[in-house]
Amino acid sequence: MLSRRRDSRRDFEATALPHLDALYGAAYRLARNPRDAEDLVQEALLRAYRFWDTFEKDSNCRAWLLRILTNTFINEYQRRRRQREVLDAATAEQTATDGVLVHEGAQAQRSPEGVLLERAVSDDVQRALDALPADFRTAVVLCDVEGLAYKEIAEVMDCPVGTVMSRLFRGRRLLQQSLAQFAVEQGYVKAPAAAPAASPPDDAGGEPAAAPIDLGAYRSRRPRS
Amino acid sequence: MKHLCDSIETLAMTLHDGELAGDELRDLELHLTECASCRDHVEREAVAMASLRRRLAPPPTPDLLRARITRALDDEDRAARRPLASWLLPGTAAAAAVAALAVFVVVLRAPPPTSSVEDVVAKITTRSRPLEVEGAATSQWVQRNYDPSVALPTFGAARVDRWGARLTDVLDRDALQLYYRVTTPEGMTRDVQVMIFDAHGIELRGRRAGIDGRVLLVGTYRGRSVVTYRDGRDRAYVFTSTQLAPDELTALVGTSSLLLQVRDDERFP
Ligand SMILES: [Zn+2]
Repeated sequence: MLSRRRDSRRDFEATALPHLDALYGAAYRLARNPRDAEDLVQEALLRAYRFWDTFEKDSNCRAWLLRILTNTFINEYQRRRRQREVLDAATAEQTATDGVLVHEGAQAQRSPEGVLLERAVSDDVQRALDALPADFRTAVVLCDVEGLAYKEIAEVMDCPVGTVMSRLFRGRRLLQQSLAQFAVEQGYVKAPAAAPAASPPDDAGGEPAAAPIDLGAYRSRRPRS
Repeated sequence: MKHLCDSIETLAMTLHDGELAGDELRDLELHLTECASCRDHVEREAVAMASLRRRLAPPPTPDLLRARITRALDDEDRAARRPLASWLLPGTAAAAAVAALAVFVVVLRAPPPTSSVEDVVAKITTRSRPLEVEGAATSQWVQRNYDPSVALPTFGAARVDRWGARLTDVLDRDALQLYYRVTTPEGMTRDVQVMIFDAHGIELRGRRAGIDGRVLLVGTYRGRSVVTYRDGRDRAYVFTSTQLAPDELTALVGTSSLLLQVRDDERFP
């Protein structure tokens, strides 16, 4: 009885579940705390299981699963951000009045238990990641946590390789800036800190004008030998 | 080598990500022996990237997560089964119906399948011709074009729509292929096909399941669930589905008019 479903379950467990560590690693760095990370992994794997029939058996299962995971994350992230935007305006005012550090203000919006969990287990790098736009964060996690190649990241994120590279470049720069700033705030480093791999002054906001990340442009300029 | 200096941010990142093509790598390495500014940049970047990756390394997966995923998959399997059990079976109390089914479905024995059923399934899987009739007109069309004595199966439970038919042949006999679409209360659809043909002299085998005194032959062939009913006139009704499991298809056929009808030989003693 139900052997078709049982076969499918066995197949799923043998093929998809070995990637659990990879999924958890990515989820841990995408989500805000370990509890959300576990929820994200579970949600992504359940979706993958429901659509297991559509997985092409010879293709890259880890990339397929990560694609589901990041899509789940981005959808959830966008839903939460819409909810948070309302809170943000109020908190920004409060922060200015109290002179509370900006990143502390960001934490204060979360649920009390969330804050407790995060205080206990989170680190600066997680706070810095939280401040990144979802696309940047995803690109950095796929590359620097998962070790995916640019081409694989492009497949997972469904965008051109050039976009992957610029998200990676800017995401890493923003992370490094945040981390340097936290180090100053916590007194590990005297301000003004020389940020590691000092970034061009204008790349925190818009496009980094001094050094656009464009391998295509380099390749087109490069003299053919 | 100014084009290299201009692109050093890009090149340094691509280098550290291991994505530079072979000749690009050689060009850059050569340039770094000549250009102190780029060399400094690449070295600073190497340190920064290594530091970032170290800090980004996640902790190990919690031991309990694997067990939690297994439980979630179990729940998913159960949820996928539950609606079928309740909507396929007659009666309103699903639990009582399941119990009732358990009483009258008896697996008698499980011989290996023979080629004739596989022939039928092979025929079903080749979509040679389009449907010849669809929707409400199907019944009348069958009476006119196939055999007026054929009673098209209807189902006592669940929402089942007959949505098409075509004439075909199987084992060198004329056959009628019917398509049904079953709709669950959640609005999910499950497709079921029935191949009807004269089975005089043809042996059809499967695992035997007795429902209410009638025998169904149950099996899976080529990834399809197959349930065969042979009526008192030796006409075979081979139900197949890729979307219903064998026991689900058996339960569905169990509610069909075929099994509820008084047999011809009983009607005319
Ligand atoms: Zn240079």
